[in-house]
Amino acid sequence: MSVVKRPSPKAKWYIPGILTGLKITIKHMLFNLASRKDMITVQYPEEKFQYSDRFKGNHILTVKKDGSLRCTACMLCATHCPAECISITAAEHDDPEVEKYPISYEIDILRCVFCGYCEEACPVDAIRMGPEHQTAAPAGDNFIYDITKLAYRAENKGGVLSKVDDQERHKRGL
Amino acid sequence: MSFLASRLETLVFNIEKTLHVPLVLSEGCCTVEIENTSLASYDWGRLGVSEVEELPQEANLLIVAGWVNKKRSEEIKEYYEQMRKPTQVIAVGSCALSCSPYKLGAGSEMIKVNDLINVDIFVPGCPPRPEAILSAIIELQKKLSPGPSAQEVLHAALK
Repeated sequence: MSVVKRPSPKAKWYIPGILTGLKITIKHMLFNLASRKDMITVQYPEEKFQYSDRFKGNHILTVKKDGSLRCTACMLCATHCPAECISITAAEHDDPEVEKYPISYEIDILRCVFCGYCEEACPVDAIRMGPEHQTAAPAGDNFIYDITKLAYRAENKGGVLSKVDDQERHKRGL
Repeated sequence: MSFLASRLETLVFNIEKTLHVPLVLSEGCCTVEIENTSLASYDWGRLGVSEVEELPQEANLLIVAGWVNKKRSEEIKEYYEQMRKPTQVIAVGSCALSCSPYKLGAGSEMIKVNDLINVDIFVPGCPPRPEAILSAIIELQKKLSPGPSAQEVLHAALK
């Protein structure tokens, strides 16, 4: 015969248990009401989270001092890309010192995995992972980013300068 | 009376349109970002998204995140058919959008979400930041009710 012991009425008294649980919640609520600045919630559309400099966001194509693209269409980023999302069409440049330049530089953003290998592979600092987070878009939007979007979008403010300079390279004899 | 009834009807219609009851079907690392978005640090309740629902009959907004294989695709279709109409779909992450890193490997059986069901908002990224998922919800609200939002009207009035 199995005997089941009923719980004593003392153990059934659950309201103090609930209150001890709610103490943490109420403490947080009062703290947030008192000082809204220290609240952990990021109020997204008004307030933006500050990322570190190493954040890998949307790509940026850097430019030279005269405003043209820094990219030399060497195809190292396209070969290195694990998702195969970069497609470049190269063309011959009028200037004899410049070997070639990209007519079209397209990144399929739906395939990109934001790994940063293109940035690592680039020898002339022509592509960078920018500080902006990825952006959602409705269906039917253009998801293949071209040169105007990558290099000259509004967030770049007329183009980001490349760290590698042509004149310095010629001085060093590269 | 008929006037009041019609007002009530439009009110209910607007609430049904703007209240998103999400059903989350997620795999892999996108799960972590969606948890982060729904909880205190980014808190999508501010934008009118309610608690994550488990029953598809009560949900309004389907969020598909992470990779989708053959077995999973049947499950997603079943869930989608049971959901409340009109259903909005958000696809999160490059696995769901283009099966990107897996498609190149030999013998992978990954399927795009857009081939299964009609996706409304695409969120690229691997995985996307919580801000990207929040911006997807804002895009969805813009799509459902075009024109300036109440927040923009308020900001314009304050200026």
